Order: sequence, then C-alpha cells, then structure tokens
Amino acid sequence: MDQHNQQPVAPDAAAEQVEEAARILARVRNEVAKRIVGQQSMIDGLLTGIITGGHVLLEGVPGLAKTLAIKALAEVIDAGFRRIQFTPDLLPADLVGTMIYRQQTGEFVPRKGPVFSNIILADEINRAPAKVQSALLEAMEERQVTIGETTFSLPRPFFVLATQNPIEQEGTYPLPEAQLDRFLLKLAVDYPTPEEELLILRRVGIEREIPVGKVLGSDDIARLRTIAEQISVDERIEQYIVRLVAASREENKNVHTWARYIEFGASPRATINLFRTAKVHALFEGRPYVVPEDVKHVAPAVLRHRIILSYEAESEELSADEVVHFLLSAVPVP
Amino acid sequence: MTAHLKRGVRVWAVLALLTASAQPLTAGYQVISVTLLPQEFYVGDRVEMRVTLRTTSAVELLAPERVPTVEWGEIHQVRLVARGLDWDIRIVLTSFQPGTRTIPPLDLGGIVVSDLNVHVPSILAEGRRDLTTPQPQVLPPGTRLWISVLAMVLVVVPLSLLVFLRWGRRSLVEFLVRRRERKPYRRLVRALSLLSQDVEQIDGREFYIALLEHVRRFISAILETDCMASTTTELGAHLERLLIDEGERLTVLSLFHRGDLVKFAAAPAPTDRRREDITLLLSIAERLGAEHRNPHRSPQRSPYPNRRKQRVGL
Repeated sequence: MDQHNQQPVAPDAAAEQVEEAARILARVRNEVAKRIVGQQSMIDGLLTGIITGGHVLLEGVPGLAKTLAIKALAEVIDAGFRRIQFTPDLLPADLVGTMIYRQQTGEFVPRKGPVFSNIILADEINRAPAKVQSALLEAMEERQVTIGETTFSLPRPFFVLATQNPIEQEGTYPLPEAQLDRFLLKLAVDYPTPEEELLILRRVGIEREIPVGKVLGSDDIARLRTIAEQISVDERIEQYIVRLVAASREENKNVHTWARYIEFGASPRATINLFRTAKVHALFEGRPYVVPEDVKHVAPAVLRHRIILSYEAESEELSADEVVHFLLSAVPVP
Repeated sequence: MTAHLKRGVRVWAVLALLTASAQPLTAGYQVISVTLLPQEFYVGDRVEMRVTLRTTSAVELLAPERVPTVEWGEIHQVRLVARGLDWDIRIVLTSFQPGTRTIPPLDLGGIVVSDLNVHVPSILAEGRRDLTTPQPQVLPPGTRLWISVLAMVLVVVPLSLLVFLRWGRRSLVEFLVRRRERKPYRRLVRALSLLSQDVEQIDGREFYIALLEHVRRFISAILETDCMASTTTELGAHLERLLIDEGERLTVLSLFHRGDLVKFAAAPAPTDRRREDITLLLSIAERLGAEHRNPHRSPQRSPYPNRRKQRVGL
C-alpha cells in the first residue's frame, strides 16, 4: 500500500517531540485542574482548538463551568483575553470597534473593539442578534476586521471560545448552520460525576480565588502546533476519515438505515477538521501517529454541529450525538 | 285377322310410334366420372359428389327445383355446372348410415339421372368391431403412478414429521447450532493457516491488516456483535466477553496494538514476530473451539449465554 503520507520523521525524534508536547500539555492541564474539577474532555477540546487554531463552541446547561474553564485556560495561556457577554442589545460596533471623532485633531480615528485579543470568550453567543453573530463569525473566518475604511488584522493567535445554553431558547438567536460550521469543535459539556461534584464542593465550597500560573506562551502554542502537524497519518486513516464524512451524506437508506435521520451531511470542512483534531488527539495520547481511535474520539465534537437532522430524527427524539454514534458504528475501521 | 286382333295391333303400333317420337325428348347420357370430395369420409361427414355427364345430344339441363330427400341422410344441395359438352352434377350430401346408398333419380329437365350410388364407409366397419359399452374417463399415462406416489407422500410425510418432531428435531437443531457455532473457529483457523503460508512473502503491513481483519471477523461472529467498526480499545471490552483469562486477553490486545503500530506508524514487523502472532491466535482459536465442542470441560465462560438458554427450551 502507498505510504506517501507517512511523515519522514525519525521515530526517536518524533517520540521526543511528542514527549516534549506531553510535558507542555501536562503543565497546562495541571494548572487548569487547580480551578476546574473533571471536565477533562472539555479542557482537551479547548486545548485542541488552541493547538489547531480553530474556534470552539461549548454547549451545556448553566453551572457546568464552561465560562470558568475558558477563563482558567485563558489565564494559563500567556496571551490577551477578552470576555464579551452577548446580549440582545449588543451591536456589531460593540464587538469589532468603531470610528470615533477626535476633537483635538478633528479627524475620525478607529477604536478597536474587544475582538482584538488573542482569546475571545463569546459568552452565550446565541443571545446576540444575527448581525452581531455575523460580525464575530466573519472575524473568526477571515481573522481580520474592517473599521470604517481600514482593515485591521486580528492578533495571532486568535481563538474564539463561545458558549451557549441549549435549554433556554426564549429570546435567543440560534446560530445558522453555515456559521456553526465555522467552529472547529462543538463540545457538549455534561454534568460532573458525583465524585467530581464532591471534590468541587470541597474545593470551592468557600468562595476564594485560586491562582493559576501562565504556563503556556505563544511560543509553546506554536511549538505544539508544529509537533501536531508532524503527527503521521496513514493513508488508510485518511480514507477512514473521508468514509466517515461521506457516510454522513449517504442518501441511500438501503446502505445505512440511519441515513433517513440525516437531512444534510457534514461538509468537507468537517473532513479537514477531523484530520487536524485527530492528530492533536494522538498528541494528547502521546503517540506520533494517528490510529482510528483518535478519529472516533474527536468525531462527535467535529460532526455534531455539522449534521442537520431530518424530521424523522426529530420525531424520534434522536440527538445529533446518537446519529453520529450510528455513523461511527457503521463505518469499518482500517 | 279378327277385328279384335286388328285393334290390338293398332294399339301397339301407336305405342311404338309414341316411344320412337319420345326418344329425342329424353336424351341419353353417359357418366364420365364420379368424384367424391373429400375422398375419405365417414358416416355423418358432409361430402360433395361430383358426377360428370356427357349427353348424347345437345340438351339444356336444369337443376332440380326441389332437392330430393332420402331416408339414409340428407341431400343439402344439387347444382349443375356446364363444362362444354359435359355437365357436372354437384350433390352435397350427408349420410347417417353406412353402406352403399342410392341417390334418388334426378330430373334435370332434358335427362333423368338415376342409379347414382355412393358408398358410405364406417369407422366401425374398418375397425372390425362392434360398438362397445361406455368406457370410463380416459386418464393420461402415468396418472395412476402419480396418484400412488401422492398417496404415499401424504401418508409418509406426516408420519416422518411426527417421528422427526418426536425424536429427531432436538438432534437436528443441536447439530445445526453446533455447526453454525463452529463455523467461525474453522474459518479463522483456515484463514490463519493460509496467512501463515504467505508470512514471508507479504509485506508486514499487509500481513497485520489481513491478520487483524480475520480476528475482527472472528470476534464479530462469536459475539454476534459487529466489531468491524470497533477500535482496539473497544475490542478490548469485547474480548472480556470472550477470554476470561486476563493474561491471554492482554496478549491478544497487545497483538492488536502491535498491529496498529505496524499499520499506522510503519513499525517493523519481523517474520518471527508474525509467526509467533499466528501461532498464538491459532492456539487460542483451537482452544476456544475445543472448549466450545466440550463446554463441560471449559473453564472459560461461554460466549453464547443466550443460545444455551434457548437450547434448553427446545
């Protein structure tokens, strides 16, 4: 079989790089763990977004430490951080900035908005109107903002970590599918286990500030990204990724019985993101190569917001996660 | 000569004169040919008799106004067709009696044709037999044999079914179930044996792709769970149902991890290592197969808990 995708990195060198990445990641995880109990998959998802340079949407009911986790991660990372609370009266200018008149010089000068930062927490993104969401999502995609007649590049790295609440739909503006597709991952934040909850109670039962150190600089992020890019992906894994995404677009109900639950399948952007995030997951696992487990592990977060369920799925009260599970159970691993 | 005698001579003379003068009125004829169409006919058949006449003098003949009637059958039509000096008399008739039948004299105006006979043959006469008594319905050949076979089947099949339900069903079902259950073992052993023959020829990566696929199929068949989409870690969970011995389970899992390493990280796969892996899997498959054939000796848990419960109820 063709092995053209095997990276020509010496095994020892690759192993050393992965060890180096593991040390960096362990430092970050330890620091974040000082504030956040459990939620390891959420933390790993956020880190995946940071390493691959993709934006992450967190969805979960209130009180699951979504915002806290992002704030903790932002404090761990030595980079600029801004939080934007999305509300119905928010305007695009409040986000990206506007031109203001300077009386001394008699000219309009741009005033940059909070989007000009490395890490943006778009809290409750579905509470702002569509035009505000659109302004942010445009910045996410193009990594630049135009104020007046001047276009400004956003600082590097630039991550948007957005949260939304799935249960309160009154007065919200659900993100359109096309805009959801721009998020690398959609992380479903679940309740902690009873053991974790007990630990949370003991740790933050008394309100206090838990300090965390800045252990991840921009250089570290760049280094992690370089190492992740060098993770080798076999041709068969690539084909597996493509088969998974293609299966989500299968229209023939005789091929997959669950095909009737999908109105529209995942886009090629899903294929690309599955490829990238599987590499990062392999890095988390300390492997310089990707195995099918990496792909299956990241697939729900990559695909759940990219698959549009059909009326049949809704009538049977199936979630996107369940349909993704059907998909993963049907496509043979290489 | 007396007066009485004279009167008698005069009468005869008048009669002779009358006879002589009548001759031109009733011209003579000669029958040239008689043809029957169809030539072969029997009682009840409609037949056309064509009689070709040649008159001795030129006379105009006319078809009889009335078609004569006969006792032995029916004359349907009498026609005349002029053919130069000859005439065709075409008589369409049906005879209901066999034998030689005479057609009544036909007055054709100029001549009276008589002594026309038609011989009506009979099938009975040809078969040289008399009418037989009514026979039963004629059956197609082999009907009696089929009826006998059907009757036998109707008797034998229910009897066989009863015997089978009473004594044979349990054995047959057990046989079929055991055969089906043994199939994955046989298939795996056969596949591994074939693979072991090519162990030196094929590339290490291809070897582990084939090897692990065979094992996946085996586990899928044994556990009746589709493991083709399961990752190595997920297979570990499945193996817990198949292999109770943790050491053996971890050995098989490490084989899968090694396979992943060869398949996806281009790790080397020495031939000795490959042989060891095949030997290991063969020994496990044969042991599982043997334990399956003799479940009472097996220390392993059964991979078919549901099936055994079902078999009790049979």
